[in-house]
Amino acid sequence: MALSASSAAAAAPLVWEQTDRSVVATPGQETATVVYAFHNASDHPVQITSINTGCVCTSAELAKDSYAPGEKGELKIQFTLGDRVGRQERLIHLATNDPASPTVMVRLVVDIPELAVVRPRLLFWKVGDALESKTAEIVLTQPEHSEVLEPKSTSAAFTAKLTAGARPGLYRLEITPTSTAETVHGVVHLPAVFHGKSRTLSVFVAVK
Amino acid sequence: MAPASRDPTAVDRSGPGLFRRAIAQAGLLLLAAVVAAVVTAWFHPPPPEANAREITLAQTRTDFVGEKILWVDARPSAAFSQEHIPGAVWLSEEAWDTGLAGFVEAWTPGRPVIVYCGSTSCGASRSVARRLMRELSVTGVFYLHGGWQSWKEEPR
Repeated sequence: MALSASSAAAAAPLVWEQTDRSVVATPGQETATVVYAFHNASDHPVQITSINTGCVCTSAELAKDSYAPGEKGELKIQFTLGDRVGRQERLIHLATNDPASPTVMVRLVVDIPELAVVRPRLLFWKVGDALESKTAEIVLTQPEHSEVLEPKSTSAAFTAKLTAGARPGLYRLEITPTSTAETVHGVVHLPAVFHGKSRTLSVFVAVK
Repeated sequence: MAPASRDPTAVDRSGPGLFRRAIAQAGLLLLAAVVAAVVTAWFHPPPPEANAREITLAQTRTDFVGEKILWVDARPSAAFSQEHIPGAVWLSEEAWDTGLAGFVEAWTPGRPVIVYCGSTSCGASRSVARRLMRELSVTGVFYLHGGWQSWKEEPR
């Protein structure tokens, strides 16, 4: 009897339907919003005193702070994708006024597909180097929905040439400096279209 | 002469039999090792930022004597605008390409790069350090333990 009373006292008052959520972002998506539903399973009111998302890129929203016994609630988490790519994990920490469970953590994983992989994104020559070409490789991960157009260099100090590779979606960007006598920077822009939306890929070039 | 009865539990110790068993056992061992390796790799993949190391402020004083560190501020732009380590460039995953241009301009080959974010609890410095190495093939990239908070708290 004493044991079950102790167990009940130690049980978390807020019961969550899910504390771990994973979503996959679609091309062009700017934010990911996920709702975590919960209810107060205890016999006393519980107040959520603070929420820490750990990043300005992640916001948290609750309709109210205090939840009566049996009352349901929803925590809305919005993650701004920005220019992130790959697997993004966010841990959101909530503090409550309940001594049995003063903190709660929910987790959000967002997988952001990289539509184009450009490697490397920086090509550089040392001052005095030979005027040799260097190459960046471009891989379109969804070639059936993507295309890249002719490159444009922001600096006359570099020429750029794009050639298609052996398989769909694979390209080689060959860049040659016109001089390596002095320090110079530039960017080679590659206009591209992904799922009907225009975007510019960039390769940074420099003589240093 | 009646043929000798064969004990089903008897072990064949003839030469070819021993060889076949040894091969079979070796195959099973190899299979077990491969399965174990696959399971290990699946659950414990190598950290993608394996080459971006964490560094403390104290280490930066001793490890880069005479070198000009390139500080990279991975905090939100508003925090950077308010205050940052002198000479730092802003580079955040909020606007990656915008920041990259400034980084490339400031970077020179061989110059140590140290990325920082707000505090120990932020992960932005590690992410930025990892992307610099992966996308730009820049080497000598570190992320600062304690971030901006440790810089501010260091007595000067």
